[in-house]
Amino acid sequence: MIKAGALSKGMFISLKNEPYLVAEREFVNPGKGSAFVRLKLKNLKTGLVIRQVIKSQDSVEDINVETKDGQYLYSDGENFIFMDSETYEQFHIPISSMEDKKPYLKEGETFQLVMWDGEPIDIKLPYKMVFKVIEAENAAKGDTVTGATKNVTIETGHRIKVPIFIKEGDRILVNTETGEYVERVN
Amino acid sequence: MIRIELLEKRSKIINSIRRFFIDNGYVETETPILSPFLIPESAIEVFETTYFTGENEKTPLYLIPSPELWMKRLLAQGSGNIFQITKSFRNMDQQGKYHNPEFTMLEWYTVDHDYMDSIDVTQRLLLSVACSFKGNPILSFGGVDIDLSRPFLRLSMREAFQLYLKADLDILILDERQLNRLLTMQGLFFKEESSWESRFNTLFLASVEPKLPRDRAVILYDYPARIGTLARGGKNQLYSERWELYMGGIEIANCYTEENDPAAVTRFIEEEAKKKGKARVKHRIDYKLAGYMEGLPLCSGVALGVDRLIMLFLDKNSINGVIPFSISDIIGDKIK
Repeated sequence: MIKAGALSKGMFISLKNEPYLVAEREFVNPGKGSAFVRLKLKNLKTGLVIRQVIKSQDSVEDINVETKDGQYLYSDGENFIFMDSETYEQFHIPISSMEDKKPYLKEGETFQLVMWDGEPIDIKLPYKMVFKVIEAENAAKGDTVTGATKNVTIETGHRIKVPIFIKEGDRILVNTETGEYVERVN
Repeated sequence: MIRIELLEKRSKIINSIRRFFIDNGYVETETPILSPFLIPESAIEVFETTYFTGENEKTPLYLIPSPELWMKRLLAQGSGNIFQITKSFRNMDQQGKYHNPEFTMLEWYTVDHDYMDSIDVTQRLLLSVACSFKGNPILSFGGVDIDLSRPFLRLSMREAFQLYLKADLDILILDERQLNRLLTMQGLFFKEESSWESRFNTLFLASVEPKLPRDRAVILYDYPARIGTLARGGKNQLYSERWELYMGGIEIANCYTEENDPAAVTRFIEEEAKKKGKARVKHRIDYKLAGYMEGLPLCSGVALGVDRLIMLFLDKNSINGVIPFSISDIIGDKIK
């Protein structure tokens, strides 16, 4: 158990037997009242986001999670298919619960899977990842405005905004939290 | 913004607050920040320090969480209208967008005013500060304009529950089962053994407060009397004469018609002192406060978080952005 006031973003808890990721946490003291936390929680099975308000001093059940390495194999349209790097066991993770991870899952790449009760409940992305640009339109000639950007497609099929000097075949560093281009890494 | 620019802006805002009160005949007061006793408030953790009075003698002193206890002594001595802008301190493990353990508080008391009269003073104050600081009455906060020349929206708690939850607050106050039922219907997590106040706050914070309009200053008034405070009881016994001012979704100020019945003040102090048993820092209690009530005139007090007000004026979404050397600045990541 953990005090609700000690929760922070990124932790896992269980409420009414459902696993949740703490997506946001803000303290609030209602007029002269004791402290509460306002939580945005993501259900790890369904992907649904709920809001809860819990007294800081109240305890909630924290989930004991473990992590293991899993290689991302492919997506079958409904699930991401991962393979446990040690046991070669395969896991199906519903895409609907982790839509936001989709742009960054590279086939063949190994990610950390957060496991609970034998099931993967979250995919940990490295803070920054390198991707290959597979399609880039040529910037208009003479376009030298500083800060000008264009869209390119990276190897996962995701489109991303980059400076105009980026060409097809370049490798770029992307911040997986904001989805923003960081730099070219050729 | 570099700190000196921020300080310049703070100074302008704080000076225009000060000018408003002086122009309106209030006396600026200075009262102890180090206090040997405090009014017990179970929701607040305080800071304790040690005063060495002699070679082998010492006594605890506490940093005030608000100047209330000393300002009420002045009122009881016949001070008339008073105001104070002071540092106040609240100790807690929590950090967030709206809290810093030391903060600037504006507190003022108006004699012969009740809580409703204080709304007018607050409205004139904010309009006057906006006009002198910005040259116009419009605050832009988080992309939303708040026109301070419009009257504040006044909503009673009961009206707010009716409006946003289609629930009758009278019934939720009287019948705990109805409160639990509504919490369940709203899908909220609560413990049945928790206090009525805690369950009420859960419902309020989850399902009412987020729906308050953000394009106007909102006065939410008449809080359930089951929440113990030093506010006078209302004509309807279920409620107390108090309000909170919300702007841009943030609680900016609170106000009471001050309770001046010694028996009621004693009751409050004793009940809160009991609850205070769970506090991390236990402090000496101001049992004498009730004694001063004989002389306390009818008056209304308002406490306003100056840093939060400055957040609104400077359109900053975090208190760290308006406090030079905020605690997270000076202690850093350790307490995030």
